[in-house]
Amino acid sequence: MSTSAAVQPSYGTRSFALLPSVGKVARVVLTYGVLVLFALAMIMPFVFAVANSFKELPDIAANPMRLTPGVRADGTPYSWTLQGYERALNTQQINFPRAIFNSFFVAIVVTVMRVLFNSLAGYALARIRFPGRGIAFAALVGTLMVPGIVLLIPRYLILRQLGWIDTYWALLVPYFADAFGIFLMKQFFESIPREIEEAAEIDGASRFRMFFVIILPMAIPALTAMAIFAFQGTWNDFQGPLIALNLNRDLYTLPLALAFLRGVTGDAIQWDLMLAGSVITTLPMAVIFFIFQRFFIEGVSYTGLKG
Amino acid sequence: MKKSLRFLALATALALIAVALAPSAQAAQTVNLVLMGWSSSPSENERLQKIVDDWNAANPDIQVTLNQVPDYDTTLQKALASGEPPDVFYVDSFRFLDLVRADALMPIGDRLTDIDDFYPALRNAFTANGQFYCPPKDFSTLALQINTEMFEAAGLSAPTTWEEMRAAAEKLTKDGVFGVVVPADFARWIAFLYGAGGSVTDDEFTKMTINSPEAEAALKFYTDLYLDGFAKTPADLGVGWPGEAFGKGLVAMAFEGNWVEPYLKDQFPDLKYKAVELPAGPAGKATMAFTVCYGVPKKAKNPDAAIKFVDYLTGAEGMKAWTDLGLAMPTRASLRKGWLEKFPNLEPYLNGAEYARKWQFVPGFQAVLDKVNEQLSLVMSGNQTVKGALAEIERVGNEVLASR
Repeated sequence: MSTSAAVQPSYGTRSFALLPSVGKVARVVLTYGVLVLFALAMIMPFVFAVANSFKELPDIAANPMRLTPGVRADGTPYSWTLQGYERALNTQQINFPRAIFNSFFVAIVVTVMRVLFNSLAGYALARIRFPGRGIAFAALVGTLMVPGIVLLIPRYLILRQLGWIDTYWALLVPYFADAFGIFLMKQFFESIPREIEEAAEIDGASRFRMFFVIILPMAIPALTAMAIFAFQGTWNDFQGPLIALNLNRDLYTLPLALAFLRGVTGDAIQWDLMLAGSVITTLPMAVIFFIFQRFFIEGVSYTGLKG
Repeated sequence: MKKSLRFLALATALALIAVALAPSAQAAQTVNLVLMGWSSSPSENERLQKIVDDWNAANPDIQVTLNQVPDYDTTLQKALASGEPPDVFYVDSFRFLDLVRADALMPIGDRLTDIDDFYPALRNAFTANGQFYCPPKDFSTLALQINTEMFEAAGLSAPTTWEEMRAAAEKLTKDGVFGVVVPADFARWIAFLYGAGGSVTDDEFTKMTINSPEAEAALKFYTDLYLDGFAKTPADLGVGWPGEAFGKGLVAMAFEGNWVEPYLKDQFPDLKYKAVELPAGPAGKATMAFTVCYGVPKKAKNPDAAIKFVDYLTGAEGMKAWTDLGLAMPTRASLRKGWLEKFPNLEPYLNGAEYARKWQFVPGFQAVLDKVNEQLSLVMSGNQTVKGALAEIERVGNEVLASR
């Protein structure tokens, strides 16, 4: 810009007039530059994982940072391959397609039930007066402070007492409600003006009708946030299914299947297998994220404000 | 689901009544066992499954379910805590003493076939309080992997002593390649510690003996390779572990266990290399043995059946079926010859059985291991002296041993 101004001095005044907009452009370029940089830093590992999952094992080992097949030492090129996927899907001990189904089934059921139970409980704590409400709420919040690992063994013992080990019940029922979700919903319901309910009550609505027809629709932002967290948390949960399942490998969810694939190969990871498994595990979550991106972000900001 | 459960309960109840009513002669029936181990590579998982399937076909009275699990430690902890441990389970020699102390294992050594055939070092790894608890299912040792292409180009032969190893490392450090990869990892340095004639603690684990001239020589040799520029750590080379550095040709030598062999074969098929025994130190040859046994729990419901099964798995026939995969090595000396005929290139690893030391410490020793790793890094980064490092390890180690 300054050189062209020096060559053609007649544009001097004009370029002066343009200066503020140049600054603006520079700022936009800089902002987006930084954003793009960070976006790349975030997305690249995933891109590499996907690209490498379609490469031959020696190729992954030799050229992990290439997005396309590389070349062998003797000059012949490597080719694209589905071998990793074939190996993952055909692993003898693990029924991978079934694990995909299990993950979806468990995540969907848990999400639906959690939305229902958390909002019911949250509403009760927010609006209904009953003896012990304060204590119940305090106990609930108190459980948030207990680190999950402490509950590992007790949880297993309870599931065993119930005879739920190696059944879907153990993957589902314990997750139908969670303290954080109830807390979130309680806070939300308290922010809804009581007058709305009073008006409904005068019109003769029962409490359940009031809850489902009037209150719940107003809580959709909070419910979406909770649903997303529930789905994501259940989808990624490793320890829960690990405790719940003993011999029944047919009920493995994707995180368990993936860990099984990895085995104790230690450092000598079979990358084609692992990357294919990882892509299968991550892809549904990624797709869901892209579809519900807006809700995700709203959800995060919502919990940030209220939670 | 619920319906089928109810039906199952009913069926079980009926079956129980039927069993109770039946004459006692018919009560002798199938014993069901669960063998729990960790999931390993697919080829190993499948091989073990096949061995179990073959056993089940041949032994209708003892039916075994193989349960290979991810995250083994958590799963085992859970199973032991519930009071219903699996009938047979893997025990890593490193965890063995923890389990003995928790009184979780039944000593079954006396009831196995020909236990003198197991290499003494490996039997020793599963012996506590004078009792041989569980038979080693297989083992791995450390050896030196050398890039034969680089060695031939430099006119070098495989090093057999520390001096030769250092000289080779020096000569091969050129053109962006380094002589050897040395991780700041006690599980590797300890082989050199033993090669120098040093030790970590006394035999009874009452006090540390690591602050010795021998240990000093070993630590100096190991860290000098690095400080003099003939060696790099995996992190320096931007790789995850020594095997990867070696596979990529970033170094001419590495010292890893035989698990590196299938890895190199699969992922670096063009690499020209061979394994040789670890070079001998001032006190002679030394290496580390990493081994796992088949444990039977103290609370076993069917100890006789479990022991019979374990005896098969670790007997000549079962162990041959398992180790013929060519990954882990047979723990019975009698299988050595047949195995080497199939896998002659793995001989240096198997030779280690004669002089290998076990990777095993007392419960609570993890803090000391962490300290050693930390001090190794400090010495290699020039922030600690060899003497200072050993004194610090000794101090922390004695604290840990005193608090036992």
